[in-house]
Amino acid sequence: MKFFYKLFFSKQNLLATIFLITLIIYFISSFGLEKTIGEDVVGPSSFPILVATFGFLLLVIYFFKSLKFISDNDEITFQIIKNKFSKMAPIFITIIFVIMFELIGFIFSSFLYSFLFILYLKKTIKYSLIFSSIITLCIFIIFYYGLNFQMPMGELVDTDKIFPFLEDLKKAIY
Amino acid sequence: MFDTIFINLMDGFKIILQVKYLMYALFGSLLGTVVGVLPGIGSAGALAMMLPIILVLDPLGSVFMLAATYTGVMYGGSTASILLRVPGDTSAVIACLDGHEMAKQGNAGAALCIAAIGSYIAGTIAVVGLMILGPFVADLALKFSAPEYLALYIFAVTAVCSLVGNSMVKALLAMVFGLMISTIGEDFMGVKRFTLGITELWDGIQFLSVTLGLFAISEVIINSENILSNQKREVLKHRVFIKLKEIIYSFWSIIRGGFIGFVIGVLPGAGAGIASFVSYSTERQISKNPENFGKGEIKGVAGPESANNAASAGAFVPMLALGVPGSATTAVMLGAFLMLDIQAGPMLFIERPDVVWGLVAALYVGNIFLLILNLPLISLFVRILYIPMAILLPIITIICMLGIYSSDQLTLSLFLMCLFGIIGYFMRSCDYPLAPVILGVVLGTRMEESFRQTMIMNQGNFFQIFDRPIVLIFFGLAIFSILIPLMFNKIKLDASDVD
Repeated sequence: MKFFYKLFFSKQNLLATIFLITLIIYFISSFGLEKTIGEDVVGPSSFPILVATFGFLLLVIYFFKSLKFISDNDEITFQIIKNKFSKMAPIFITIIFVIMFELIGFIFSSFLYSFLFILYLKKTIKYSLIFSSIITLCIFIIFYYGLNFQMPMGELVDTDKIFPFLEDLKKAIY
Repeated sequence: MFDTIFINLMDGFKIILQVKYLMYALFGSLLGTVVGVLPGIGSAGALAMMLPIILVLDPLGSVFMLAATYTGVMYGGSTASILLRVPGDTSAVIACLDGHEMAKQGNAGAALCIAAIGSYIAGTIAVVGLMILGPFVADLALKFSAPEYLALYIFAVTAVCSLVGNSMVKALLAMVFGLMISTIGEDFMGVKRFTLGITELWDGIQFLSVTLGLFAISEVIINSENILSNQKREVLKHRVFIKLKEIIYSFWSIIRGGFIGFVIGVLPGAGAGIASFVSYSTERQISKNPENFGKGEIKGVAGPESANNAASAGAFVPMLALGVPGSATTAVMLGAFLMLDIQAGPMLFIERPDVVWGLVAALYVGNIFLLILNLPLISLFVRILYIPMAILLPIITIICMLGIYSSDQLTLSLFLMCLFGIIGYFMRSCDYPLAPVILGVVLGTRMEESFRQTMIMNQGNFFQIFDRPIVLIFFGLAIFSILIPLMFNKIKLDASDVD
């Protein structure tokens, strides 16, 4: 039991194990795909099955090779997982940004995002405020006016209504 | 034959060297470089953005401006890759590997210089190729059917996977992951696969979400981790210019990249991305110090950057000679031709030699402008690296998000970018290379299409493809590319045993 735990759930092999589980789900799902005419030769499921089979073969080689170093493998602990996830704060801030992106529009969400991000990286509130304003403004001008990008103006907070001159200016440019 | 080509080319230069056309080409190069730096727009997007502008110009001016924009975008893409590890396009992915490593070592200027010089030299090679070999190579490209393309893709995949990272098995697993991603969405028969009932996934996962997530977002996580663990970022004094010995050292890589890029660029559907991947693997394979690749080897920048620029010129061959667009970019170009009432195809060489030879001259002039514009701008670009990381990291993320959002306006693509950022972070922690994932995503759909067409052509007998000489050549190269690193490893192990 300990042997299997060290093989599949060690720090070095955990990603390969997660990939193995994904591959199994992918492989099984391939058989449930819609059938098309000419399926007897090749169909929508043929390539995924081929890819999955190749993946299984590679994983067998991978785990077989890792048997050599099994005694050196570090066991995965709750502490390691906790440490890894505590370092992922930037991605969680980014996810919040993505959620807010369409809801409150680009200007407010990107200001909020850059403010939180800079603050998270141990900068002062004043520093974060100044630079998040500059970042938001510069990016907005370059993309919205310079490159004519479509930007979300917000569903909950409508930036267009708060700052009507933004769109007027764009209309004047283009 | 050469006399005629020379006379035609001179006629082309006579047209482009008018001040008005030179200005168009200059504007196109500048705009292309700026747009190329931003992720998400790409060369096809940049040309599409130019369409409203070219409508007010005369047809020749429009063609010249488009050609110059195209070369500009191809160069601009590498700048963000080298400096920030943010590849905006497939062809710029490879520049992240050694280019960004060079930047980390304080050699960002040298990396950008060699990319500019390589792009110029390879662009020139490709323009010459376009003139002399154009019709001949276009004929050869027509001999490529599904089995040949399948063999080419298999070769590209094996060549890259055998050389990227420290473990071939890990690289191949990463490639399998990329292939799996490519199968999400509708296949070419319209069957929906692995979409989990999400309508937005019918078109598949956007390439940019995967690339920017894996490369840029994982880099953002790692850098913020370094800041928080009080790892002082070494403020390096960046060299702005390149040394002559570095240019001489990389010269043959540039030439090889130029030839590889041109030939691959000519093949419809192959594109600059594959050209840069193949060039990188070739450089590493023939290098005396393959272990330096991935650690800031200048040849790892020179070869692929030259190849992607040459491929962009090579892509004009099937478009001009056959009226067949080989890529999304040349498809937009062909659309622009139609808008301007220019009919691409074999008759174009006879009916509108001014367009053909003017375009060839414009590509050449565009390359010169790129060199003139970009070498002085390098000192400016390098200054980006002096911006404090706390400010640079949110800027990178916001630009990546805008790049993705601009292409499909889907919030799901942004969530996927975050997901791939997490995956990229863990892959990098466990020493899995990221480039094969991108290769899998890019080639997956085309590989599957070729595979299925091949199987149907051969009525289920896969091995019948070995009757084709081009297939045999590519499979031979694929086996060779796997065996060579294995042999080198064995020799190294034997040598260390003797020691």
